[in-house]
Amino acid sequence: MWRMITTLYTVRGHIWDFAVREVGQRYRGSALGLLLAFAYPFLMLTIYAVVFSMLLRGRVLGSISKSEWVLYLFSALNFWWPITEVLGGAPNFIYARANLVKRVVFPVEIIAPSMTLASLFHGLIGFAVYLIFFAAIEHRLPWRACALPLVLIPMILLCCGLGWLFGAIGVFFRDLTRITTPLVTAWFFLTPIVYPETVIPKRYVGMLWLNPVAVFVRQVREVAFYNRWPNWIELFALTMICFFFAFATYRVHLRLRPGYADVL
Amino acid sequence: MSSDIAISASNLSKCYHVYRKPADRALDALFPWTKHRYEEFWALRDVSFDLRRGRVLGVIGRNGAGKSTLLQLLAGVLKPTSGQIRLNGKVAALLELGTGFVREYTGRENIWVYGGILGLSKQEIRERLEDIISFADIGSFIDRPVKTYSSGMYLRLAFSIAVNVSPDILIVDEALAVGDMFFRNRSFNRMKMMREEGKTIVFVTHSMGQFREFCDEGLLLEGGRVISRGSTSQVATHYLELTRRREDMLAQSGRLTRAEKEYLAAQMAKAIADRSKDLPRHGKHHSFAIGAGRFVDFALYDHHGNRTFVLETMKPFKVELKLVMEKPTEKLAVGYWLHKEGGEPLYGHNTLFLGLDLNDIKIGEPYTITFEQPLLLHPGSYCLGMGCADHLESHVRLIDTHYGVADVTVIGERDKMYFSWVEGPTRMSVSDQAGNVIAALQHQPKLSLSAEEADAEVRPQQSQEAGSPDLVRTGSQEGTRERQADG
Repeated sequence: MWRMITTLYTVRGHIWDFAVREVGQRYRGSALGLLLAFAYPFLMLTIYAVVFSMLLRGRVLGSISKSEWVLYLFSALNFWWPITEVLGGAPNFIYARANLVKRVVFPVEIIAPSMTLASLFHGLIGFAVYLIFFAAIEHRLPWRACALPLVLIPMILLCCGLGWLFGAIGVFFRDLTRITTPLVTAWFFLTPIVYPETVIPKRYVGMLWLNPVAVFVRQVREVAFYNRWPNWIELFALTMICFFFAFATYRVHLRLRPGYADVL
Repeated sequence: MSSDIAISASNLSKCYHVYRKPADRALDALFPWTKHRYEEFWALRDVSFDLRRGRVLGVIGRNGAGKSTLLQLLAGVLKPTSGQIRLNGKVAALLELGTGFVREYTGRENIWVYGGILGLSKQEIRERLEDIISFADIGSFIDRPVKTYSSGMYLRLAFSIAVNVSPDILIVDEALAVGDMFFRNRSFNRMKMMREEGKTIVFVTHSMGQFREFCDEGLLLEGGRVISRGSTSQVATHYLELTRRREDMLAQSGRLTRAEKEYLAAQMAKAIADRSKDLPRHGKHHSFAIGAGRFVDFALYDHHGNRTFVLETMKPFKVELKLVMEKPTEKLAVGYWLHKEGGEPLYGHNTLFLGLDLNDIKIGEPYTITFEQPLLLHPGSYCLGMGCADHLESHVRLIDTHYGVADVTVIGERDKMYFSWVEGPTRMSVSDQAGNVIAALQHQPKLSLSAEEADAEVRPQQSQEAGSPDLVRTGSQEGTRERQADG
């Protein structure tokens, strides 16, 4: 475990470089450049605002008003997307970089963290847009969102873990890309993102702990929507769970790694 | 291990686990305690060698002999199944085409990525960036994604990075074959510079010319084992013998497919037909009389008297042609020649034009016709051709004519430059406007038909090779016996 941390620490420069290049590459050649990165969450938020204001017809969920509902939804959705991105791309993380595996001594383990950071970058831009909307609607800012970095740690660990696990298995099982799409959809609906936790029957609420993303979403909403401090105990527990998940998948990655060059 | 040794490999073996489907491999890796689902394939077995700093090792062998596997092991991309590799210094590898490039990144970005992988700091990369870009010489493509590159550009950039990150050990797979002539020359010059700087180079090639010219020592792999290790000439000879035997075996065992055989037959017929169109230059008509006689064997000997297909330039050599005549002829001519692939004869002789009378030979009995000549051809790859013909009053009747019977490699002195294909006595001078000679040179190549005289010149070079203590020749019992039987 300690070795995983030191290994990743020594290659931190590579992880960062790759993440920066990944982000840069996405906007290279587009006329609007980085503006596009802001335009996307902006458009999404506008669409949700328009659609839900028509759909919900003044119905209010719990104590949440219609315009607040859009913020409530987006605060979670915004950080769900990066997870989707990692999960959807993971089967190709290593497979698509066969060159690097076969031709050079490349620290393959950096791909998952780099991709996580690159995806997180979009999450953070989305969050900036979210803050603008929040300020426009609520005429204040959720200042306790300064705890967000701490809340994001388990999510980063989770994404790294998903990247290692699915990246490694994706080398061997090419069908994995087909499995991830329904998996993402199922996971999306199993997580209280488009519905509040309160609609879940009481006796099932405990089962949300089987889904780390649900607990993560809860913490994000605490800081970004309700402007409350996160539940520190839950956050700590979640971080530990995600850390062990990441560690376990890292081990899987190490175990399968000698086979990469042979298969690709 | 002394610090003088750059690469030390001991008992390297690499076993590939061949799975019927990739999923089996993952299952085996995840559940190692279950029954194995693979078949073993040993790409390398028990390969041991040491390479001293500043030496260039050429690795040769047929396709599938394990060359690439060995290089991948040295580069650290693959892990050996058993055995050990010790590398003294920073390694840069150019394995196959397109060293670890990220296809979506531009050439410039890939320089950063690759430099980073090799452990260069940002400052070091920045210092080398200009050198790398100017050596690669791919113009504005440097700022385009490498997926838009031609294979030549890929190679240029990859090679440029590999040599400019100042590695201690450079590993080059056959990659250089893709480059054009100019870049290849530049690459070789660059590698020669590195050699002079004391860098160690391991190099896979299929070109015997490159092997001889550029490498200090050789390693011949066959079936994953080291068959021959030592001086390049020794290893090259061994390799060519191996190839020839292999081709014989292929032809005899009928492992060529029928389509292949038909194609070869058609090629031969076409070559002969084309040839016959060329020949009327002599003002005579040509016809074929297949069955009037045929060559039954041939052999080539170098100046040491060894049967070989590797000859040294300016040294005497011997060609033996064994011929059986089946019908009487009027004026029989038998000749051999060396030619470039698909080209005209460049060097050789013919019994008739020199006035040797062959009309007494008996029908149905084998005769050996021997030619001994100093080799005036310069280093390079040539083919052996032979023919016999009946020079009738009205026309020349070709009896048995073959081009490209065998590949012959002519080797020269290391690091010596040769101009054109053929050597000869030369006088050169430079005069100014007034007609005064300001520089002059006379060159008289030392030619002889006797091996002793030729040997006298060769000795210093040989003793130099013998002086390297790390040159060991290993080989399987089988390989050694075959070689002796052949000689």
